[in-house]
Amino acid sequence: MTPADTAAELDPITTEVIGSALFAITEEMSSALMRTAYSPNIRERGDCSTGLFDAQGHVLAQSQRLPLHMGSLLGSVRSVHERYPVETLRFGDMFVANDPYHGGGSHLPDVNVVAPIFLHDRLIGYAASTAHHSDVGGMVAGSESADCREVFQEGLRLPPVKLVGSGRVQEDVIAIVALNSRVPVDRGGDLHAQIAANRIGQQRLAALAERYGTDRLQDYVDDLLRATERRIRARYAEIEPGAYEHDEYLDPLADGTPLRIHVRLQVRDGRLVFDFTGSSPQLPYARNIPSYALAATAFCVVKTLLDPAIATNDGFYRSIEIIAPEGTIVNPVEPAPVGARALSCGVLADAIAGALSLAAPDRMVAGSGPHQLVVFAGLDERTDDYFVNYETIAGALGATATHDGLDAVRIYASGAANLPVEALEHAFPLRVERYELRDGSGGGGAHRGGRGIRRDYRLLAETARLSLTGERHIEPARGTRGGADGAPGHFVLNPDRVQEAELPRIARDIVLHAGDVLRVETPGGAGHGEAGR
Amino acid sequence: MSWRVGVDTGGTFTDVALVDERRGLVAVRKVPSIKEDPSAAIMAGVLGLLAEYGVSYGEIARFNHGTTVAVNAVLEGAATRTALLTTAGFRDVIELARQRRPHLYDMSVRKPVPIIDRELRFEIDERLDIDGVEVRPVDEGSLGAAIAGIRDSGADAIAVCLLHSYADRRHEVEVRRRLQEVLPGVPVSVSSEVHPEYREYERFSTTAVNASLVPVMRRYLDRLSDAVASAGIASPVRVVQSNGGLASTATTGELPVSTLFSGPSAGVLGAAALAAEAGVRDIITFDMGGTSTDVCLVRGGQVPIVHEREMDGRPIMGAMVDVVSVGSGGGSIAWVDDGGLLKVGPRSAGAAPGPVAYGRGGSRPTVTDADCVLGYLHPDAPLAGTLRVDIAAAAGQLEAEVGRRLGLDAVAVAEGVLRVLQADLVRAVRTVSVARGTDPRAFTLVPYGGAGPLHASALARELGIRRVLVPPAPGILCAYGALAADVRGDFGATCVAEATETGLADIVAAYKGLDERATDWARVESVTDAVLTERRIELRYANQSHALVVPLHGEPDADSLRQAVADFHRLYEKRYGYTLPEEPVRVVAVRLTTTAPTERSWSSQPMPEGQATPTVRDIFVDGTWTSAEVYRREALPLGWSCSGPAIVSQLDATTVVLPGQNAGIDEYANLIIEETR
Repeated sequence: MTPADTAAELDPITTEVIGSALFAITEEMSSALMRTAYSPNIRERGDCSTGLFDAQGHVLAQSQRLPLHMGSLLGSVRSVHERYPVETLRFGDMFVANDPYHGGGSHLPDVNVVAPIFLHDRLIGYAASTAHHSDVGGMVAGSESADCREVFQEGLRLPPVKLVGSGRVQEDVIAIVALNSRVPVDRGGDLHAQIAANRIGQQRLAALAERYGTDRLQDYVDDLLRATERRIRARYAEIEPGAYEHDEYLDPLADGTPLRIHVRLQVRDGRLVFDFTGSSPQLPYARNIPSYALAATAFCVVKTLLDPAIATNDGFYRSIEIIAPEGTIVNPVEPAPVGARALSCGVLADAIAGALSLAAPDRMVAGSGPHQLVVFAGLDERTDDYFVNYETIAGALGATATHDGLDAVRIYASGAANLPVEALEHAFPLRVERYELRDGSGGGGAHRGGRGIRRDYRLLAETARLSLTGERHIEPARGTRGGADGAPGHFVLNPDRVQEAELPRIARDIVLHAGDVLRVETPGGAGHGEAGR
Repeated sequence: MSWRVGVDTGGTFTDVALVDERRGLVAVRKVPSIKEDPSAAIMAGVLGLLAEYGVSYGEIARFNHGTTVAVNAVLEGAATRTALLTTAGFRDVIELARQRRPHLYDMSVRKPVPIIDRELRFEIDERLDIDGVEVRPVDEGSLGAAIAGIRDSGADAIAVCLLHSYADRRHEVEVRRRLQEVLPGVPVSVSSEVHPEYREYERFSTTAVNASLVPVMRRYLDRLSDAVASAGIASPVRVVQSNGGLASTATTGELPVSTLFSGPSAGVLGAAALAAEAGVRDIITFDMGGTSTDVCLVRGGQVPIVHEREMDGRPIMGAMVDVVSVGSGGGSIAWVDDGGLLKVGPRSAGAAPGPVAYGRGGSRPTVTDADCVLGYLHPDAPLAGTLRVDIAAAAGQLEAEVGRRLGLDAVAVAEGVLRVLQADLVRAVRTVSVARGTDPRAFTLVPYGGAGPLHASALARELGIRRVLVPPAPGILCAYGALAADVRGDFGATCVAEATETGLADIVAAYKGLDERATDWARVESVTDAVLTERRIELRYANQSHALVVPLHGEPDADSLRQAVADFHRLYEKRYGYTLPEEPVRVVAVRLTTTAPTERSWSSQPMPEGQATPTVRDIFVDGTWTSAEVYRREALPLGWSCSGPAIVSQLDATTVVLPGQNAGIDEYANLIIEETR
């Protein structure tokens, strides 16, 4: 009946059951993190992820609400694994890290906590959590501005540092993080929540190892990773082997210098190799993509196009190789700033999807419109309080070979929800006068690109300052197979009035007065195929 | 007047429960559902049962039912042509949703098709601010044009959704009055009545769904009420709502959106009522059907309520029983992925074509087929009394579709399917327990639905739960639950105020609004006597947006508010492990529940006497074939007990008892399984 439980002959059903159990543990870790976190961003929007790793640092399972987190979990465990040899680790230790250059991080607000897991004095794996902390210091509130010129301006940088030693929380480390934040109380609370989540991961993985035996569990885990790799390779096998090249452009520098992301995809030997050689040099502002954000975006796009249900573990990840020359947009060197990488990752995703589309035409997807960022700040005379409204407004997805692009959604690796108009008007001295689909913004075609959003804000306070970060205002989302491009994005001041003016796509501290209207038009997705065919 | 009838309409069967108010549950019946006219199946089932037991129609005191009319209309895309009237600039709100992709990775998963087409959305120039103060009055010209447009469109229903109408409904009321003058026969749903709380997408979307359901629900209820009345049954028809309470056909006809989770809520209610009767107040319900499984954690006999759920990708607001659903059921299909791992679901063979063993054309092996191969389901005990499972066919397909690829025989595959399934079920139970900080081991598992009792013993063991309570008629518990329900109305309103004496006037005014709505409701429901009122208040810390609901004891005043704030700090501490005692507390919303309790005069179920004699058959359990005693549930007397392995089969369900577990019958006719290891 059931095959003999020998190392040579693993029972595939137990492999699946263990895979399911590992994933359930990461989900339970995430629930604990969301339940005990202080800051609303983590607790209500779930801007956090958790993962389990084996003793070699291979990721076994991840629960992610934001695909962009796939990279920093991976990177932080790797940096701990490399910096702290096994013999220096003690039962009950945990480490904290966020630095993109020394801690495996993605940007400074995403703070990672990594916990080695021991059973009977033997290292059996790691639990890790990442959470977006609303402020880790730096020159702007929120620690995320396109305007930063170097990573030092973006906030507190942490290489892997011991946060818990043999079960005792190092409150002095938490004090450093807290003192560097504009919201100090939240930092301590959120870090404690991450510690609590990791403790659950430690207990549950240890219990699983007790149940199956540590070596036996490792055998099954290896089998799980092999099965995942076989599954994704079956998808790769459906692709014509060869090399596929695609260019995608970020909006150019102020002097007109084009910003290229070049991808050369090679499909060979059951692997995908993405080579970004030929991409433009790193940017002087904080839109660079650090290597773990690059990896996360690549994983996300491959999963989206080829196998949306593939498990996010090392078996999948190791089938993808990434080559990115140092000093480029997609692998900046210290101290290049990276805080506002998310918009660039939208264009990067199109670059990767573009190359993959050439390789797998039946999965082809046209270019997409990334979200746009607007920040209103000033004095709310209703309460005499200073207010900051940091808002991301969705673009839209490009059309696929089989479907129209989705209207008004966050794309690929990003995924936060919007703020309802009725909540916004309670919280800030603004009135939204229009919130609608932007007709005609989706590129036409046999399948139409998704439509972006048009949203008008009227300022009710006497005065306020406005900061803007846009992308695809000049370089539109590109159509595929004769599909039309998506419409570019716009920021317009006082539309349909004599004072109407187009605002720059990267701007800071524009002064607005009561009655001024900002119109945001987010870029649409591109179409696929010629219309009418 | 001493009989009660409970009905639950499902996708495959319509279940009927007949209760004698002096003796308890007397009989159950399953009849095939009739999709085109659900009331015809109901009447066939009810009248057949009454005739069989010689109950005269005049003796029926209650006629309660759970309905799938609303949920089916939503899932299949409502046939109603519905128009929307909304604030200028906001016609796309119902389509924009919240910017999230419907699936994080799968681009073929689409956003739900908007309930109302773009060309049926009309804008009018008007505006209120957050306090309900008029910024711009309703513009006559734009309203006239919109009404003319709606008239010309031939819409059968209208939704009126204006910004900030939760703060002041006058613009919506004015618009409705004008609509009714011009289009007197067309039903109008206004957002300030369907869900008078802030957050425009959720309110508009719920209102649009409601508007589209009104004509469908009214048509259905009229037909059913007519059929019931013309049969000579004097009792009014009442409908189970998603909040687990009953409502009249008048209320339900106005607010059909409140019945979307009618069936599952009735089931939880029935399970909680039966368990409470047996003295068990902490339960986890486990309702496993053909296509999905619902679980709910009931603590202290209190059925938990949430105020937002999702239906087919759309947010539905209102008071609803807090049930968590997963897509695993008896019909979940077993398959092997390209990595060589056994997967169960998410695709389901559903009711049609169904499992292979049903012989109705299904060729993909399912969970039910695995149950057959392991000997849990057997042709000797036909399902629903008529369907004899084909074990050989089930084994053949399990081996052909799965076994060959994994190098396993049919039995090993079947056991594997149940292990993989169990991992999913464990996750569902952990979602409502461990993930919310509650240890499930202190709870009793209450399985029902066609497939619940089959898998409950193993699930309980895996979770460390030591006790399982299988209700007397687990396959028709929703119909029984409809008889345990109270008439209930839930009312809520957004109220933005400080939770101090400063905000008291606003809070009192908000509750006064709820009281008025509750009074109107009680009149419609004819339950003016013996109504219980419970007030609750949603509070949050000033700098956080996450709110918790706490009771507000007595009338809203400074004392009760102070008490509620203290309770809020305590609950927060319990939930999150810390409090912010210095942080100001704000009110988010006020809530009021009125119930007219259903009295129950029976205290036990009729049970047979004498000895139960088992037959014997082999079942595969704990990795080996063992001989198990097989009992008929209907023949088990009070005081009966046995040790596992055993099978207890009955018309509507089959229960598995594992080695190391004991089973017995309690004085309420529940089958109790206890772990002895």
